[in-house]
This record gives sequence, C-alpha cells and structure tokens, in this order.
Amino acid sequence: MNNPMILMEGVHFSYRGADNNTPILHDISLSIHPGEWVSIIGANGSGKSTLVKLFNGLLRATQGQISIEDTPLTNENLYDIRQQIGYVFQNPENQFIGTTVMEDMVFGLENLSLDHAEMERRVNHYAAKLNIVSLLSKHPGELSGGQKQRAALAAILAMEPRIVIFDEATSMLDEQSRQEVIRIIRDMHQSGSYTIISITHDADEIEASDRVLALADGQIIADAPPSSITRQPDVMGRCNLIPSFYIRLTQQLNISYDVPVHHHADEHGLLEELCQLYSMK
Amino acid sequence: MPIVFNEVSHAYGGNPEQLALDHVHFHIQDGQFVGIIGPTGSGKSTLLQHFNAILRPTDGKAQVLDFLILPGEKIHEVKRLRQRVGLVFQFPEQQLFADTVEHDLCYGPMNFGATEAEAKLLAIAALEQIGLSPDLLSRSPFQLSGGQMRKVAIASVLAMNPDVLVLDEPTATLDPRSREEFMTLLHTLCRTQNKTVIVVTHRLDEVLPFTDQLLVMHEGKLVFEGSNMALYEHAEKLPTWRMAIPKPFRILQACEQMTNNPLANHVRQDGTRATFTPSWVAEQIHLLFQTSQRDDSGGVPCSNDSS
Repeated sequence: MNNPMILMEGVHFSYRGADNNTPILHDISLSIHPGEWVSIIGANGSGKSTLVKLFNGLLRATQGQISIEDTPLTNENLYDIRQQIGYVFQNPENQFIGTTVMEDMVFGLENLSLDHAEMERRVNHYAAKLNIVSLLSKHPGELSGGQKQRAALAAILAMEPRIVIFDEATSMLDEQSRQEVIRIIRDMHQSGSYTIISITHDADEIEASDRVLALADGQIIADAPPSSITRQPDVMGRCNLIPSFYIRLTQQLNISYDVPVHHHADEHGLLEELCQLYSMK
Repeated sequence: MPIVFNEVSHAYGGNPEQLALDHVHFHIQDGQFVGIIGPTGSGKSTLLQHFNAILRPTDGKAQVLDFLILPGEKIHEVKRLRQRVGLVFQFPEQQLFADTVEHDLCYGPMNFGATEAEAKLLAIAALEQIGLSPDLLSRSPFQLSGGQMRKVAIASVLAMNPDVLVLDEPTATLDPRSREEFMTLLHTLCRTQNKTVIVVTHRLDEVLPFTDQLLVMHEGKLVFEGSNMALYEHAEKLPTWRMAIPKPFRILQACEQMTNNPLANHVRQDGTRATFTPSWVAEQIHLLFQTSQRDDSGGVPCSNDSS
C-alpha cells in the first residue's frame, strides 16, 4: 500500500477574529493516495475551499497535523511543499500575471530557478499537451473562457506538481469548454502522474472521479465512490446537490404516470427502456 | 415601458470591422422573464451593458423604459436609469467594497436618496429576499464564503428596488440547490412584482423552466428570438451556435422519433408555457405514448439490443 499523498489528522480551522467561535472545519482526518482523483462536494459555505487551502498552506490549521508525502507541513517547508501543489482557480483571470500566455508560463518556471533549456522544454511540452501553442503570444484578454482555463492549467502543469487542485474550475465555463476541461482532467488522471482534488458541484465531474468527500457544517459526512453518493438522498440534500435530470425524470414517470422505468442515471439507458416499453404497448 | 433594441451595433474602439454587436434587433415586454444565451465571446456581456447605458450603441438605437440611448449622445438622468435598471455583473462579489455587509447594502439606496434608516430596512428586506439571515449585516463581506458573497452582491442590487433586473451569469458559483432557489426567486420577483428579469447565461437548461422569451447570441448577432418551444423546434441549430442541446430537448426528440408523433401537435393546443422541467417532460412523454398511432408493421427498433 502506498503511503498517503495527503494526510490530515484531527484538523480544526477557524478564522482569527471571527465573532462567533464555530470553527469552519471541525476535527477532519483523511488520507488521499497518490494518483487518486477525489471530488470534494458541499453546499456554499461548507468549508470546501478552506479545506483545500490547508493542503498547500494558504491557510494554516488552528489545530491538528497535515502531511504531504509523509512530510508534516511547517512554516519552514511551506515554500517547497507549495511547489508540489498546483491550484487552478474558478476564475482563470485571477491567476494571470504575464502579458502573454508564454510569459505567464515562464513566470512560474523562473520561480523554480530552472535553466533556460529546461524552461523551453517545459513550455513547449505543456503548451502542446494542452493545445495552446498557437495562443502563446496572445494576451490573456484575447482568449475565450475555455482557452484561458487551458492556458492557466498549462502554466500550472509546467511546474510539474504532484498534486493539482481544481477549485470549481469548470463552473464559469460554457458547456463545450467545460467538457474540454473535464477531458483534460481525465487524461491527467489516466497518466497516473497526478493526485487530483476537485471541488465541484458538477455531476459529470463528480461521476468521473474515483472518490467523493462530502462536507457539511465543517465535517466530512460521507467518503465513498460517486455512484454510492448519488444514491444517498440525505448526503445529496446536505450538500445542496440535485439528482441528475434523468433520475428526476425517471421518478416523475414512475410516480405521476405509472410508466415502469427503472432509475437510470444516463440518457441511453432511459431511452432504451422507454423504447422497450413502447414496443410492447 | 418595454425595451426595444433597433438595429443596435457596438464596435469596441470604434472599429466597424469588428462588431461585438452586429445589428441586434428585439423587443422585450414589461414583466417578462428573458434568457439571453450564447457561448463565451458571443456578445452577451456587451449586449447587457447597453441596458443601463454603461455602453452605448455605436450604431442603431436602444429604448430602455423611457430612456432613449443613441450613439454618441449623453443620456439625461443616467443615474435614474441605473436605479431603475439594476445590473448584476458576472463576478458580483467584485462589486463588494465596504467593511460590513450592512454598509455595502445601504450604499446604493443612500446614493439614490434614501435615509440611513430607510436604507437599512431595504437592506434587511433584500437579504431576506435572497434567503440570507440579517445576522450577516455586521459581518465583513470578505469573510463570507464565495456563494454567500455572491448573494450579498445580488442583494445590494435588489435593495435599490429596480424595475428591470439584468444579471450576467448570476449562478455560476452557487451550488445546485441555491441555483435553483435563486432562479425561482427571480421568477417570483418577475411574476409578483412585475419586474422585467433578464438573465444572461450559457446554461440554457437552467433558465428554461422560467423563460417567456429566449434570445440566442452567436458571434455578435442575434440568431434566435422566440419561446422555449420555438427553440426546441430549432434545436438542431444549437451546435452550430456552439451550444449543447439540453438534456430535456434530447430526450423529447428521441421520444418523438420513437413514437413518430410530433410533440408540437400536443403542446400548442393548451397554450401553456413549455418549461422542460422533469415533470413537464414526463407529462409530454406520457402524452406522446398515449396519442401515438402505431402502425402494425412490427414496432420501433430499439437500439443495440439483440436479445
């Protein structure tokens, strides 16, 4: 068994100076293994972003211990550990620094003190991988939403992190760009080189991941594979998630019209069954 | 007073070669719930900034309530226009600036002449409308979660009690339940207070349950204007406008095909709005099954099932 990539033991967090004493996170213990793709779900304000910001030390736990690859997070090693962790924001605008996509990629690499040849190799490699070679000389403002998110991701992957955190990274994107980013995450997952943490409300993204951590009121209320989470109405409800369109449609057909279809999570299965029913009519 | 856009074009930097809006022409009645949809870069956000004259047409004219917005001309009483047309930007949390939620919410009303006491009442009412507790009034807006910040920003626009509410991707960062609740709230404001609500979004399925009228933007042009049902009948065009066909459309199209029974024959007769919610779709499927005239030639082949 591999050692955990991320280990949290008895972690508490509350904002300093908050007028009430309710902690944002309360006694969280978890371990995430190398190569896993973990979705973090929860209602707005449940502590999802706070939790992942503890992983890379953007926030520091008020109590408890956090280790990344067996190394406990301390003030001294924070900088080194952050280099292992890429953070993709919801709004890619928030992470552009350079005036061109290329400059933006180089900025991160300069901070790693890489030599020129290595920087060039990485820019070319990751720009090609994310299909943004033709965008390298463009100003971030000239890009579409999906292109911006790909450019932001290329800059992050070029730093070759072990862990990549997606903080609702598809929520601002239109349908086509959203599918594109999910495809990229899938590829990253398949390569086995990354531990992927994604905060999301997106049913497709949740379905595609290995494991779901559900947060409510600052605590983990469920830790299970996606197919099992969607079958737990109480967890779905506490996370403010809604069953997929197909599941709700199936329920309506059953309850209101006595159409005896089973619960289907996808279009194909539901249509197949409707077709069988219709041909027996 | 309706909103009428008459051949409105907008060229950023005055370059007529690159029109962000290209001769856009439409009419919105009072108290309508309107969805403006289109992919990123289609001109949606440019269009919506014309509703309260942040941008003015570079060609054509826009009539918003009793204000006429013309190229190159200053608008009288622009402040009154902006009170009556509340605009919520794509990142409403970036509209927040004050040290407490209360100060943020009171800023708009006081700017438009309310006393401090009146403003506070409006602030509390707006928070309640959006489903947040008045306990938040004393908190710093920057200590709230992303979703709560967004709601506070929207409440700050509601506190000004505008006649027209224009929102740019208002639900992007909300969780699914809050999204549904928020759209329902907008719909209630529209129906009970006769406010015109215009939602700019790329999530077509999210606005369908509520919209009286849909406008589809593509590359700066208005490529579709009509009801939900009219868009359903043009669904095959959506991919050419760089948008996905929503799930309820796909299911119903497949059922129409399966039963060889056009949906339009049924929904048009009773004149109700096609909402494309799960319960509405279930009802239509039931109807299609009930009313189809099956020929006896052996039924419909179901896909890839050989057993």
